[in-house]
Amino acid sequence: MGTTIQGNGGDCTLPNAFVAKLSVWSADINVSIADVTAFDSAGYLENRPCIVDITGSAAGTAQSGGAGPVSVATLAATFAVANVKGIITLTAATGKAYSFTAVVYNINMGRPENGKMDISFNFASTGPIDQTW
Amino acid sequence: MALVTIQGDGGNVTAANFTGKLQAWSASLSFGLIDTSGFDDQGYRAREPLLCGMSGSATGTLITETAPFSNAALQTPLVPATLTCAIVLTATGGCTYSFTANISRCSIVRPYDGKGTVTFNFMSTGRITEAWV
Repeated sequence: MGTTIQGNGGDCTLPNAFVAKLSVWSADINVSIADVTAFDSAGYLENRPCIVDITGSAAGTAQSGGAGPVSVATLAATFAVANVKGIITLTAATGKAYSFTAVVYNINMGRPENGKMDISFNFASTGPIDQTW
Repeated sequence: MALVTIQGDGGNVTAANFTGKLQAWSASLSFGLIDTSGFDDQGYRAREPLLCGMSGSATGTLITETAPFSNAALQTPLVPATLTCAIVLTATGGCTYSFTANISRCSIVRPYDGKGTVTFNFMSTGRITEAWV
């Protein structure tokens, strides 16, 4: 049987506009489904796959001493909208990865008076998804 | 300068006109998302980012010296302009997000025992400035 993937070795790279010490990623490969049930479906639901995308998040700890979580160039006097779209690579193990262009559409941050500053980036793909496995 | 994870003492949040002994903040920086999928996207969903905004909350303990909600606002008639204020979210020294925001909610809990808590919810209006060292 196959070799399970666990322990050290995963990775996640986000577009350059986003920086953090990432420690986990999660993603869903979504397939939209169209209901094509009709009179001649003999009482059974019939569905067909349509469009595929990948949505997910990468999370970790915010860092000081370098670039901020969002690049200053992005949060300029005029929001640099193009900067929030770029290539994301999700690595499960060496040679096992998903790579795609995505829009980072949400960043969640939490800063308690004690403990660490958690941060997570939500993304949604736009265009093809490359799977290397 | 070496990258350093942000944790422990050093965070802060300031929101003029709204008061408490604050001890934690959380925020979401959102860039919007719109589906632009079309016939020529070869079966994959296409997306673009839209507008940038930040929303979140700051929470802490009620204090006796100053009311949690802006007294300048709770006049007859209401003074809505005082519900808009400058907010600065500090992750650690020199690492901040600054923006003008509207306070959308002030939640107060006072148990018969234990401390009274206050939470302010806010949403940005206009530019968001990130400073990071």
